Parts: sequence; structure tokens; C-alpha cells
Amino acid sequence: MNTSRNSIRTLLVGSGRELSDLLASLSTRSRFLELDLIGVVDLTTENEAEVRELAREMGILLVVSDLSDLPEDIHPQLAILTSAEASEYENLVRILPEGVPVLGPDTAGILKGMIRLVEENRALRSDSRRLKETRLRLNVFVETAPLAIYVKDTNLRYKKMNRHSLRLMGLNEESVLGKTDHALFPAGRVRWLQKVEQETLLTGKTLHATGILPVRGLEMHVQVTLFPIIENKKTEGLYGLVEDTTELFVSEQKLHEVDEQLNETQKYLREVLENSRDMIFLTDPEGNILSFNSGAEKVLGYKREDVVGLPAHSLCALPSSFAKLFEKSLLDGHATRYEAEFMNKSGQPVICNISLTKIDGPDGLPLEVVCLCRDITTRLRLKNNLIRSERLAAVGQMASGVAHEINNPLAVIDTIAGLVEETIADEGASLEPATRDILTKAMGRLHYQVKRCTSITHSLLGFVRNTSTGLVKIDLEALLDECLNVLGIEIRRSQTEIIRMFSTNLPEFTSDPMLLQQVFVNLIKNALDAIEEVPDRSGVVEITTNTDRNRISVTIQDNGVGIPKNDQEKIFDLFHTTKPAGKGTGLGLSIVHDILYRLGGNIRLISEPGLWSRFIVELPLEPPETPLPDPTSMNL
Amino acid sequence: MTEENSPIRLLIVDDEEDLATFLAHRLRKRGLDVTIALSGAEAISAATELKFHVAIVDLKLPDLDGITVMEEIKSIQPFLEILMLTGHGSHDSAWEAGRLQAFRYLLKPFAFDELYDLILAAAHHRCKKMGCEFEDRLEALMAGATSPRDLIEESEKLRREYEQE
Repeated sequence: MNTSRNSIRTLLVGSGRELSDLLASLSTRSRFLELDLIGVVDLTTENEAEVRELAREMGILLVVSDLSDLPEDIHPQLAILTSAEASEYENLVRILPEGVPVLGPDTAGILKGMIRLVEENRALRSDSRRLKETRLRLNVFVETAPLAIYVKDTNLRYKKMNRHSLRLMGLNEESVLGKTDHALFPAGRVRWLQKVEQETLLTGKTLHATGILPVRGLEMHVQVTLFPIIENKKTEGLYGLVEDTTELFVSEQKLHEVDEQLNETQKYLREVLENSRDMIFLTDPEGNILSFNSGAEKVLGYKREDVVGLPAHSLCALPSSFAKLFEKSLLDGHATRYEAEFMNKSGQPVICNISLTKIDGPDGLPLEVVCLCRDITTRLRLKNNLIRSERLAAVGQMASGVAHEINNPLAVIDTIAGLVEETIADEGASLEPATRDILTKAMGRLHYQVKRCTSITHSLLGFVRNTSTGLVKIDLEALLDECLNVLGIEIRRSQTEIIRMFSTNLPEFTSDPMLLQQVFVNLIKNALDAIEEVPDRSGVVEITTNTDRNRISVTIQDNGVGIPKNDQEKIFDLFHTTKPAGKGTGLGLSIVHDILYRLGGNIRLISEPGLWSRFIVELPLEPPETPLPDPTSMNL
Repeated sequence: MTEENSPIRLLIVDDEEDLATFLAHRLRKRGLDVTIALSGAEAISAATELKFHVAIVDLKLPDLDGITVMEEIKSIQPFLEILMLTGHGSHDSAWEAGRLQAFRYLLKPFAFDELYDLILAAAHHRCKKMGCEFEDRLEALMAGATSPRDLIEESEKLRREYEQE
């Protein structure tokens, strides 16, 4: 290969097809470009045979596959890099002596090289030899860069178009040189480019522009960098570097679309989560709450900002039980429990159906746990009430049948006892006074015991004997006062203070006054009994009425003996009594529950054993249209 | 103690024999003229043969139900007052109908004195409806703390006056 003395000692670095293309291209032009190719670094040796063959043909003796294999004494003046790897560019710059320009193919490298060369060109105008060198390098660069580069004169006619741009545009050099864009592109389609080109010529500044070039019937998104060519302080033309950004544009567009879809989906999901009535919260893998939806705010009464950052188990009645479930979800990915107890802000238990799902992050480690909780407190209470009512119905039916059968013999016993009593009184003169006394006393006890039995059987039958007097508008205050009246003697005797806290703005409501009276008399009587069991405490019974949307509530609270936790669930069961033996029949609260059930209401109990009990009666504004079946009704 | 002389003739209709027997015994001791019927059929035949002022009818009988019995004996003796007895306080329509026909009703087991007072009140009520001349005496009987002896004397007096009528 013939090389002039002025040729630039050039090193080719690259890999694969790009490298062999570059070699092939230079084999016909290197002389024109005055390049002295001193070596080839084939980084991947992908098509090593072809590269070596081309190099041999071109008389290049040095072909290596690693930069470190280069001899130290080759002194290159220019390096041309085909690899798009930024790291290769850095490596090359590091290994070459300082000041040796590297023409790289990636945009950053090319721009760096271009700017450097253009600046050198300007700065070294006086030094004709070096100027020539730089120009040569520029030519080399323009020709070899895998980037579309064109040169235009001040009339914006093409002076040059490098092989890459010819390939990109699908044109050949002859049809381009000396032409303007008007001849190459449909009218008006590249005005955006011409405007920036004119500005570059006018201002002498490096400018950037993005736009669309119509190429072979397709729209090519491009980014163009324009460098003015200044000779002797006069603008002679410009370089244009064209980058095809279509792929980037399309992928950006796609990314944008995907982003939008993702946003939509996220928004939708967020709304679903946020507006769900179910309690939904997210925790980190340690169980600390990250988010808390409005359903959760409603269910537990906490505000989002109250709980975010707190450990989720702190909301639970049994923190360790939740923690166990949480651990299971981290291990298995999922964990559910049918009845888990949370505590709401006011300390009331909230029973939830709970489901925990672990979500892994991109690194495969647990990222979040989604906690989905459905409040089943009301449903559970209704279910329990129903079960209880059904059990009550069965027991009640049997009990009232038994009571009925017992009433007849009781009547016989009482009648005969009376007869004996009368006979002793009338004709017992012949008896020993002591015998007479004990017999009289015995008959008295017999009457008393019959009475006890009677109170049980009559209470049992009370389920059915509670006459429904019909539904009327209720004056709750008057009704409660009437109940207090009925119990006047007991209240005075026990010196219990009655505090009446009656709401003045209760809505009108309809119910059965006789049945309600029985309910409240029973409850107040129970309160008095509970107080009586703590003899040294001055008793207070507080009766409160209130309304909540479409329910009326009456709360009867006493500071009596309270109800042991074990008994609280069973307190409404038939025959269950917490009163001392012989005192309670275990019927009162069953009857109360039964009546309220029939009136569409309900009763709840909260009690602190030893301190107080609170019964909360809730009534609907209207009783159910078809009265619920009387669980104990039976045919005579 | 002569039941024949009692101013109040009472029919007890109850299949609970022990109750009927001992109730009758105690009421007779208080001077009432008591007849027992242990079934609905017996009650109806007794009402056909004898005149009663008051009848105590148990709602539950082995043959006929108490309501039917009440209706039957009422149709034979329209001025007869009825006290209804029941071991059960249900409120079905039959019970309601019986309650309307009856002078009063009582739940078993009852207090004997309460029953006795009700018998007197029923007799008094009947007396008033028929314009009975012994009304005052009966009222006195009802008001007075009635020892059996007083009662017998009083009833014998009433009886005599009744027969003279």
C-alpha cells in the first residue's frame, strides 16, 4: 500500500461486521484520505478471517484482538472506533498518548471528536501542516462515522453526504451533490431544518434541532446537530450530523402510552382500593403500615395519618396472633383467617375476615403485604343472634310445654295445702300446740314453694303471654318513667339513684308499648339486683336515650356487681342466671331478648366484672312488617 | 253444712280429678253448692239437669275443648257466669273468644282466695243482671272477711229468703 509521508498514522479499533465494513470502505479511499493505517484491533474476532484477509490485502501488518496487545512504539496520530460501547471509547482514550483524537461511532464520541476537530481546524489555521492534518481527520471522520453527516454550502446546497447518510436516505452521491433539499424532499417537509441551518449560517453557532424527515415514504424522526464551517472569519457552509431517533421516538411514544395505561390502571386500582368499604392497608415486610384506605378509616375510626408507620398488629386485639398470621403470609405468600379481632379507636372489638398477600419487589424479596379485611362484626352478631334465637325457640317450646304440664299438679298441690291449712285452723284444737305450729308453718312453706314454681312456669309462659297491644307511636320518656314508677318501691328500698339522660330530639317511632315496658322493667330490675349484690356501694342506675340515624337506643347502666366475662355471652340464654340461687329464674333476659327480636330490635351487653354493666337496647323506627315468628308459640 | 242451702250453685269442669275434688271440698266448706264434671260431656249433661250460677271451666279438656263447653252450657243456661281456667296463657283466637265469653280467667296454679273472690263476684254480677234481691247480702258476703262459719250462716239466711221469693 502506497502511503505518503504526510499520511496520518491511524489505528482502527472495532468489532464484527462494522469493522469489516469500515476496512472495506477504507481500502478504496484511504489513499484519498491520506490515512496510513498502522494497525487493526479486532475486539471480538467475530469475523476474524474476513478482517485479517482485508487487512492483509491493504498491507496492514498489525492485527490484534486486545488493546493491551498493541506495541508501545506505534505512535498513532488518530484512532477510529466502530464499537458503540462507551467503555471501549474510554479504554481507547486511556491507552492512547494524550492529544490523539478518537473518532467514535456513538453520538457522544462523534460529537466530542467533531467538536474537537472543528475547533482544531479554527485554532490551527496558521499552522498549515497541522491544519491539513486536522482537515484530513475531519474528512476521515465524516466518511467513516456510522452517523449521517452532510456538508452544505451557504446556499444550502449539498457539498457532501457521507456513506452512512446516503445509505440512510437511500440516495447515491451523484443525485445529491449540488442540490438543495427542495430537489430531494417533498415541498415544505424539511422547512424546520432549513430554518435552523440558516440560523447556523447567520449566527455561526452550533445548533440542535429535532424533526421529521420523509425518507423512502416513511417518517424518520431525527435529531440534527449543525456546525458552521468558518474559513477566514467567513461562514463557508455547515456540517450537519443526523441521528435517526425514530426508534427512540417510537419507544418513547410506546413508553408514554404504556406509562399512561399504567397510570390509568394505577389510578383505577387506587380508586378501587381507596373507595372500597373493606378495610385495606399495606404494610412493609416488617408489618409497619404504609397506607390505609377510607374503608379502614371507617371500620376502625382512625385517620390515615394516625396509623401510618405504626405496626399493624397494634390495631389488633391479639397482636401476637396477627404477627403469626403475618409471618405465615411472608413464608407462603398468602394467609387468611376467618375471624380476626381488631380494636377500633374507641376500644370496641371489630371482627374481620382477614386475608394477607405478600408482594415481592423486582429483586425477589418481599416488598409489601396487602391486608384485606372485611368487617363481619354485624353479620357475626346477627348470626349469633339467630343461632341463639333458634336455640331459644327449641328450648322455649319444650319449656313452655313442661311449664303447662306442671301448672296442673301445682294447682292441685296448692289447693290441697290450703285445705290442710284450713283444717288445722278449724279442727286442729286436739293437736299438740307444737305440732299444730309446725304443720301450719309447713303448709305456709308449701304455699311459698308452689309460688316459686309458679313464678318460673309463668315466666316461661310469659314468652307467649306477653300480649301484643298493637303498634303505636311511642312516647319513650313517658314509657320509661312508667317503668320507673312500677319499680318505685324497689328503687326506694335500695336507695338507688336514678339518673335520667333522655334525648330531647328523638325521631318519632312505632313499637309495642306493653312489650317495651316489660323489656325496660326487666332491665331496670336487673340493674337494681346487681347493685343489691354490692351492699356497701351507693347504687346509681343511668338511663340514657339516644338516636343514631334510623335506630333508637336506650342504655341502662348500673354500678352493680357486673357480669363475669364467661357469662357475658350466655347471659341471654334461657335459664342462665348469674343471680344467687333461688333468686333469678334465668328467664328475664331471655324474654327481653325474645321481645326485642320480635320488635326488630336487639340488645347488647358490655360489662366490667365487679364494677358495672351496661345494656344497650336498639329499636328500629318501624318494627318489621311481618312480625317475626314467636319462637315459643304453641298450640293449646 | 248443707250444700242444698247454698245461695251459689257452682259447676267445676276440669279433667284433673284431684284438683276438682279438693277444690270442690274446700268450696263446699265455704258453703257453696258444688257439682263436678270431669269432661265436657259430663259438664253439658250436668247443665241440662241442674241450674248453676257460676261454672269454672278448664280450657283443656279430654273430649271437647273448653270454649265449646262454655258455648254449650251458656246456650242451656244463658245467665250462667263462667270463670275460665288455664294452665297456659297463650293468645290464639280461641283463647281470645273464650276470654270474651268468660266473666274472668285465671291461670293455674291460682290462689284459692282469689278464686273464691271471683266466684262471689261472678255470682254477684249474675245477680245484678237478673235484678236479684239478695244483691246486698251477696255484696256484704264479698266485702266481709268471710270466715266459713259466717258464710254458712249468711248463706243459709240468703237461701231462706231466696226460697220465700
